Amino acid sequence: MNSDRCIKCGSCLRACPVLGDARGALFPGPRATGVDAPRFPERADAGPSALMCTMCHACELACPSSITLTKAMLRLRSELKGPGPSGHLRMRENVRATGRTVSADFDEWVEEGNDILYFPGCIGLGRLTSMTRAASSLLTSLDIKHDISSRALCCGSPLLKVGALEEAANVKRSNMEVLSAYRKVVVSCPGCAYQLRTEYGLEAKHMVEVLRDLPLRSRAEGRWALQMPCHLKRGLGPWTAEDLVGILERAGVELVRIPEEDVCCGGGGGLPSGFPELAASMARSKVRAYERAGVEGVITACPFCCLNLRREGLRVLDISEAVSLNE
Amino acid sequence: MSRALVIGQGAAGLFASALLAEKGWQVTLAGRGAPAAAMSTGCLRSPPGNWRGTLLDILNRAGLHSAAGRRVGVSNLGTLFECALAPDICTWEEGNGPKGLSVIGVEGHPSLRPCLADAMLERQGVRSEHLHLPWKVPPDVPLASRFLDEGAWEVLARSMKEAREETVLLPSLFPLSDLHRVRWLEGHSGRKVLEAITPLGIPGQRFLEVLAGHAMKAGVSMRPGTRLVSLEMEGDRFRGAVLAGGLETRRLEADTLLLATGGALPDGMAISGRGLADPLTTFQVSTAGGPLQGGYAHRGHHLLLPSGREAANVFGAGDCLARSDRGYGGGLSEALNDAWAAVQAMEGP
Repeated sequence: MNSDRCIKCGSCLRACPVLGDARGALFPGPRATGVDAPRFPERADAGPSALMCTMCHACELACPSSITLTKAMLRLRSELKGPGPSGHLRMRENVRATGRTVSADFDEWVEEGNDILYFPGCIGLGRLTSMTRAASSLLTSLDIKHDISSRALCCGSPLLKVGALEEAANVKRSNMEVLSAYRKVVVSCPGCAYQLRTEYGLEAKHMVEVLRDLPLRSRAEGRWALQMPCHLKRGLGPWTAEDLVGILERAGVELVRIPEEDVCCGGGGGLPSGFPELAASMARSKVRAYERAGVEGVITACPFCCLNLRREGLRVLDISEAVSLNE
Repeated sequence: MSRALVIGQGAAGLFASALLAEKGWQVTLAGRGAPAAAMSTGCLRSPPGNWRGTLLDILNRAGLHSAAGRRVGVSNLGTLFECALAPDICTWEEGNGPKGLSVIGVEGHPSLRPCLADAMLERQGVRSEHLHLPWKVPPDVPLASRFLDEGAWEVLARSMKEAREETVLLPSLFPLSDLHRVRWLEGHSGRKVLEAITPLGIPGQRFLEVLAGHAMKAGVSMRPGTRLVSLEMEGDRFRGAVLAGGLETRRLEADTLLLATGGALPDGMAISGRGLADPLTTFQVSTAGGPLQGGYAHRGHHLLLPSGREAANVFGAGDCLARSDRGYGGGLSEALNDAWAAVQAMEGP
């Protein structure tokens, strides 16, 4: 752990979107959970409020000493005592019962032995089935033949976020049996992509990386803003984020860029299930910023952003719903 | 069009990038982590150089109205703070200061302790009183220092109305997006706002936000969250660089490189033993005067190679440069000075 390098400058606290929300005042902050807790375990029992982090990586990018705060916080989560918020327990129960954090509503499985797998993720299968259909038909129109396997389970990323290491290892084992049969995995969720690359060692491609150099045109009428997913820009990397902008601009989407586009919407890190009021409050601040910009809605590339912002009444399109093949 | 790669997103990197873009360069700016300027007071302690008008113009256009000259403000400890260029909300022109100050603090807010500031001001001959806002903020939140609730501003305006003095000293509560609150508070309370000069808080971050906004408008292509991992040199010429960000690395070509990284911090200069080492080991590092004075050796902002020859197209600015003295609190002026000089050197005779 590199927490010894903390110079107590407070940059992480100023960058934290949870501390920047009125409902996030109880969160001890990235310094207490990421630096102090690993160093002073006897003082680390901050209780469930230590879980009020969206894992957006903003603190990590702000840190002048390159402390891996998110990693430290993930470890703390696995060491926390006590049952945790009821929403997190429900999620773990769902995974034990169905293999996914939410049960799948989607049933148009494609199991034809293609060498590419489209991996919609739990939210894509359970909550955003129209996004999953749009992504699948977009891939088909681009001549990317793919399977959608009923045997692919939760990637494990949300499980790590609630400290469920054992369950995460279990789903990884089952998933590897399925995923290793494919040459390539395409995902819609940046969290899944990050997990499959870092924890599974797979060359999983996010939809943005697949669409990068293809001829596309806009399906979004009017002016649209961008909701930049944290795990796309600060997880996979700034270039993938740039590619998202490039795809939309080349397709002819009228993009309105606002400074708030990079700020976390509150949809990650198990916040919507663990602390729904905080997740909603963060989403509402974002919705207000987008309303001020006078746009139709936002385009994003993350199911969690989609879900959390739609709950607050904003029109949100996933990248696969915003563009189509330019024939 | 010449392509410049600037490494470092602090005061030197941002200012130089904007100046270059305005001169027609195609600029890419890479950097990661909060720079020292974001932890500064956002006030310049040494007099500005030829760039004074340029900087004031940038600050004023962003709504952070500032002035140069002999300026005085009050620090968050209540001491008088002299500087050479600063925002109007935290300083006055020397000789034109307020007769007295009412200090208003937020209970639990570490960036302004009203009793202490009051006592310090009295000792320095400034008539003062102190007031507390009637609510508590959890200990870590104040560093974010943002009044998040509309009601909070109303409570503050009411407390200001009760102040005895015409001018009220407040903690730093105004990020760029909340600067309009100053006028609102003054209108609703009939008192003048004076922001306490505060390091490690909003003022430094606000200053940097203004520079970043200006660089972006000037057309600088920003790559926040990336760092330089290796350099490609051909003899004394820089050819390209590899940048890392997230799970990816990418190679970038440019005609000129400007290193505007920080000093002896993990991602700028590495301290090895009692000396300094360049993590890239490409350029000559001077350790004369110890780590605090050490940094890249340069001749007219041209970085030197280990052989002592000048690198043809590599320049330096800011805290990464070796210097014979480093004035206390003078880093921000030095960084901007360097940025200006490095840009002149890059433009050539």
